[in-house]
Amino acid sequence: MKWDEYYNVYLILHDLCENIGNSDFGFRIQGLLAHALSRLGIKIFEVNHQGHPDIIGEVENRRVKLEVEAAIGKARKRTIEKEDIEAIKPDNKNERGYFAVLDCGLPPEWLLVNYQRLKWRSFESLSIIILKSLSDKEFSNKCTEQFFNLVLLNTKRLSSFTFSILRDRVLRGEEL
Amino acid sequence: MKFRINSIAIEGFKGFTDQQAIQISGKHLFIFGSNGYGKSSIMEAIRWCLFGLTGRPEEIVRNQFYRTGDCFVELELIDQNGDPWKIQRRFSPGGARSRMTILDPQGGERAQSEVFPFLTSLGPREGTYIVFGGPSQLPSRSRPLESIEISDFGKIIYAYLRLENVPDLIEKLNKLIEDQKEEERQLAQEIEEEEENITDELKEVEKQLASFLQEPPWGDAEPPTSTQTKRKTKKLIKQLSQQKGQESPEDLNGENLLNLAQRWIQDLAAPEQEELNKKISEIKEQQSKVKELHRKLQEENQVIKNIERQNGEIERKRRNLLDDNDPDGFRKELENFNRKIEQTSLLIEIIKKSQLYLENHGTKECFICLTKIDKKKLRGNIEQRLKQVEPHKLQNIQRRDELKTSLEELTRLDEGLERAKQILKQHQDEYGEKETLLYKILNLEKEKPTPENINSFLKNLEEQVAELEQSLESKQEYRRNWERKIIRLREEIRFHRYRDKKQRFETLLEIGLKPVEERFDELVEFRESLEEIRQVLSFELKEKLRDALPLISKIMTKVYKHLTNQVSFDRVQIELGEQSGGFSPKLLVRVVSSDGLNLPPLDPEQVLNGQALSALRLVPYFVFSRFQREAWELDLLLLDDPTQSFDVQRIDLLLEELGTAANHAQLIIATHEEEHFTLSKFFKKEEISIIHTTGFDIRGGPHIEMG
Repeated sequence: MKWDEYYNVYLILHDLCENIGNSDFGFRIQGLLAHALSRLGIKIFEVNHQGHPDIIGEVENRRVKLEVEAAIGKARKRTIEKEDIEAIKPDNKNERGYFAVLDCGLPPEWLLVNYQRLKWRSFESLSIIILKSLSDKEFSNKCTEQFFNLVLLNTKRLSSFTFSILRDRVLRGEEL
Repeated sequence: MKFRINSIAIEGFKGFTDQQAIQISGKHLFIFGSNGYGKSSIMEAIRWCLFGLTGRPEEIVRNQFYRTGDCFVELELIDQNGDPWKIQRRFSPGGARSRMTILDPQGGERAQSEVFPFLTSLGPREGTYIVFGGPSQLPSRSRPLESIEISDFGKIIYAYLRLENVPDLIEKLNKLIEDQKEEERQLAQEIEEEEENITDELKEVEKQLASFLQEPPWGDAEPPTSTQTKRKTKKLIKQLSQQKGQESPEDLNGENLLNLAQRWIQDLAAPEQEELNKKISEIKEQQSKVKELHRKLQEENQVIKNIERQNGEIERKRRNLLDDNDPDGFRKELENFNRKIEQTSLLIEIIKKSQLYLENHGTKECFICLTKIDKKKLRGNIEQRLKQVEPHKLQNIQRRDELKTSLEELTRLDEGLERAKQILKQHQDEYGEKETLLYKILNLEKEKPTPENINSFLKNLEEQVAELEQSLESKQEYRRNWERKIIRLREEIRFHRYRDKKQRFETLLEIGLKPVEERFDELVEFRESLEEIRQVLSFELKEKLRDALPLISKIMTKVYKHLTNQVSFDRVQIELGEQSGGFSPKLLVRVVSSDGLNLPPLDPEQVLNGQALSALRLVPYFVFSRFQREAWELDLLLLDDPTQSFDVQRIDLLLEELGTAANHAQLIIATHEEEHFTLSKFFKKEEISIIHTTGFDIRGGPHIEMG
């Protein structure tokens, strides 16, 4: 991935957020992550507009639960609520839970933090740097790569992808 | 090495004045005496000697009335070989804190940590093997049992389980984790700020680059590479160096090379341009000089003509005024009229006086010739004569004034004419000078400068100027060509600079912060390791406690029951609570009834009477001393008024427990209830020393009697 592409994605994300507002932006990012995960071979079962967790998927008989957030603008600190952590707590050995944050800084990147590394940190104000350090680097990089591909392939259509479009398509297993 | 106290020496401490010694000989010591006679001071002196005072000013232990002001306590100890050791504590006047000294049998000073390592690690506030009892530490309604005793119970239990360091360790871990968190936070903030700075700069460069590329100097062509720009720069400087006749420098970079090129172009073009400019400026100066002279000549000419015309006018006026006369005739006529006027005036005066004489003196004859006259006729003659003479005088005056005015006008005209002639002369001179100058400029020997030859001359100059300016323009164009090339190269360099800067910031964001982020990862992992350790410790400690608490509760219940013989709330139960975010267990002392009432475990403070509470409070001492009998160098059990709140019949039960403790510990016990202490039932006579405090005075201190 070249830096010009990073910069493009950065501009696209900021434009999108400015056009649709922070709240809707968060939902769409959630939908786009579900598609990125799908491209990584994770079958997506749930993409929730309300309730926890935000995304549930499965790969190789392992369930994956994710809480999703976007960090944009100067205030890039996150306080992880207890329910966020509870939502991704694995119920058994075959489950994995991740707290996924899209850092919209330069370069933009997904940070996926495993539940095991977050469980002691509820109510802590976590900066992006700490989340980055806690994140599963390999999984985060893969998500980032797929996410970038999605954004760059669909730049012109991106603003027309509402949360429900993104959710319905990924649940049907359709690509964007 | 195990020690017992052999003797105690006290001086200037609390109520004590001059030094008093109490011989114990390694036995158990019972101090009997009424309240206020110094029993507690002896107990406190021992404690002070061992631990000093922490958290409070030591000044309070000094006897303010003791003459030397010294405060000193010495414990002589005997070790298991019978050799004497000394622990001394002295608080000298003027000192901030007391000082403890330990002397071995040879009199050598020894470090406390070397001889009594546990004294070092456990001070009086934490210590449980040196046990102090005393009224001030007994539970009361205002001071709940739990706040005093829970820590004691906790420490006893941790000591029993050999886990006494674990809670401290968890606390230390808590602090360490908090410190790590803070360090993490600070470093994260620094990284974040650095990232934000770089991002801002990168965005700025992106903006500059985008603005630059809107109209790039290379148009639609591909942007030049750095190498291409360098090559072009070198070529340009080489061309210029040939023209300049200088070597092209090898050691300069692009920007400096272009600066040099700029200077060279200036050097090359400037002298010629200066020369041309100088020539143009000279010609233009000459042009303007000729024009100016020409203009001035015309003006002078006009002025001369005007003056000449004015002079003609004056001459005409003068001629009219003189009317073929001359100014001297004018003057003679004026004098003539003046004489006539004078003559007439005199005549009028004579006539008027004659008239007056005639009227006043009524004469009948002429007053000059004395001829007889008719007065009436004479009066008529005089009046007639006056009528004749007076108009004549007036005519003469009028004529004289006219003459006078004409003469003045003539004088004025003459003066004006004279001045005008002078001015005319000046202008004519100036005209002549300018004309001569113009001759010279136009290079005319004899020919008079005419508008034609002046215009011809000026036209010639204009042609010269045009030619020179054309030449100058061509030189400037030559210079501009070079400068355009330099500007273009400068723009290319600017482009490369932006692009390099952009790449630098991108690299910084991508890999520049990696080392710091790796260091940060290490910090985070370290903190996670600490948290894991804390979690494991906490879990294990709680597990151990859960396993051990039933047995400990049972042992405590046994001692408690023995001391109190309680019917209800007869069992002690230690429960596990939580504190410090759930990592450090908290031990709660509860009492339970075995009477089948099915009551939940309750806080003793809420349900026990004073005696039972006092007894419960003593339980840890006995239990603890059983557990730790082999562990301590100095195994002392100090109890001050332990039977306070006790029923008399229960004192024997306490003494029985003390008798058990005395198997390993040296007891030092103070009480005012001597009559209830039947020592012979529980102690052999040779095992105990007894002293009595029989009185107290402010100068001599406590009165102590042995035996």
